[in-house]
Amino acid sequence: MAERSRSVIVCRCENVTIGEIADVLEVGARTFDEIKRVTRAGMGICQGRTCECVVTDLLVEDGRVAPEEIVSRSVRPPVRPITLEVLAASEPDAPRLPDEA
Amino acid sequence: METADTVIVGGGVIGCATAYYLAGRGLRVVLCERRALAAEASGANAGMVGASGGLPGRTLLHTRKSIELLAQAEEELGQPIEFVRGGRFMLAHSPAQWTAVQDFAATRRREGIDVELLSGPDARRLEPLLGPSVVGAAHAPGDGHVNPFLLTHAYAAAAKRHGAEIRTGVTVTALDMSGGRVSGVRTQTGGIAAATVVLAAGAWSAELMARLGVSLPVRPGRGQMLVTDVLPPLSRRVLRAPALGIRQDVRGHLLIGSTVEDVGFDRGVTLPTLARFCQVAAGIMPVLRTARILRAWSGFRPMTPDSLAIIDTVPGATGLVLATGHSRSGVSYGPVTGWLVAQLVADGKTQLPLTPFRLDRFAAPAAISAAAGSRTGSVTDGHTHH
Amino acid sequence: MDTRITEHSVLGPAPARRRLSMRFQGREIPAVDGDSIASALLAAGIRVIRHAANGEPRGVYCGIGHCYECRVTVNGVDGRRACLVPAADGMIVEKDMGADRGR
Repeated sequence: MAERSRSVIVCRCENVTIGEIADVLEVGARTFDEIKRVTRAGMGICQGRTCECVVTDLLVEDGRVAPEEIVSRSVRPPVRPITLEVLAASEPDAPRLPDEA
Repeated sequence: METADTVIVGGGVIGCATAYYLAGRGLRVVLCERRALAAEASGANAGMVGASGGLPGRTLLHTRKSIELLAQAEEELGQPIEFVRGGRFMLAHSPAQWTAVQDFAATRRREGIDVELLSGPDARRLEPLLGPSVVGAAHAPGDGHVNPFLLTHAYAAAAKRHGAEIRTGVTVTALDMSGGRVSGVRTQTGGIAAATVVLAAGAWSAELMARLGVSLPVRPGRGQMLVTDVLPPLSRRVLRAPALGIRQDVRGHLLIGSTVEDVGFDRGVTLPTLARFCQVAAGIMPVLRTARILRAWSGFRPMTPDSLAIIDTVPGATGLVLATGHSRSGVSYGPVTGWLVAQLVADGKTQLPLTPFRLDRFAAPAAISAAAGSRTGSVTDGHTHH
Repeated sequence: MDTRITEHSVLGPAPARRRLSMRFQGREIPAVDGDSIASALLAAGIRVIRHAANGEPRGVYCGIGHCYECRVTVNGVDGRRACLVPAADGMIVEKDMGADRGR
């Protein structure tokens, strides 16, 4: 890995540093999602939008993962943060969950 | 062909805990995970754990042991796992639920698990943020929650320190059999010969067993979940209502879920379910109304007909150990499962009875068919009971 | 102190825009019609919009509504992105309280 400070922040939302990511790359993480599970990079409010490209760069650097082997981060709803009350109100007739008595 | 003492199929919390305990006994262990550690159910759950979650008369012994093992794990494994033993509330919002909660408390207390009953006002005294509709609660102070990603990875890392090999991106395509014994596994990169194979592939265990002609009663049960943005500390407790569980992680995110849906391997989430989660959660804790939801996802729990795991050997397949079907409680039973399977493999016997987890408790006992590989004879050949 | 460009070497003089006034953390911030909250804050020399969990000062980063670094509470509503929300006369802007409430 190129000379740089391990303390540089990669994921601004969760304050995950280059050093933390480098450590999980060392033990074999090869996808964004794997790195996310252990370091929390990508679990913050922007859900990986900002850090994905830097993480991808770290994955490809030093030949760990070939560019064509890169797997994109998994994207899930909501598209952007939504409050519980807005989501609750979106389906006022939502059926009860099976275990609701 | 390379060899190992034990091959573990599956890199979730069950597989990794088993790897840790087995490697700790000095066995050469190779764990094969087709995707990544904690990529499936072990990475999709809310991390709720506790002795009270066992089945009275059957598995409270095991859940109690499991949380004891978990309490030691952080220090033993040498890595943070974010285990918070803040207790659990089983909430009642109706007279019928209150009856169920009283029964919950009584059955646990009978077996020595500390559970107290609280009236609505007393519950709200301990948890001021509970909504006004709470009728009462059972309080299990010894329960808690843990970070399932960190726990799984910590077991794997510790297993490696004891000499285990943890391989991700390796798919086991078949179990090799010879003369009624398991002889190893086949992967897309070659075979591994081993005297013991532990099948801990969760919702995918049935697929592998089907290739041996065994019908394993483990089906995927999709569970949906929500996570919120960071909130100030609201509670250290696990809050459970019959239909929903809520718990806050150490950074302040709230995890809200879940369901058990029979939809095969459909990884989607559905708006009516998520909306209903929000409606119910707002009733349980009204301050959550303005919490921002960051993500919704789903995972596949390995469901068995009675929601208890299958931890057992297989008739006609000496050396094959099943450690799967943990249904909704894989993280809770993970530590004790690994501990017990290591004993089963290394010693041939276990310190706690495996009776509740036997394969033959299901109506149609499974057996290895002649078509799956050579077989030496009867259904009980090579099968030891514990 | 206003950092706005009033005379640009290529674009010429800045067009006249209606002046507005909003408040950030109780301080009066002059703005013009067409400003986002972020541009008004930057023009007023304010770069620190909130503090991260680790205590670091944070402000506008991507500027295009992706990163949420610029999130603020606007007229009591949390999680608004300063880079996207148009400045309005009388607007009350505060540090985002959605996640940081209680810190």
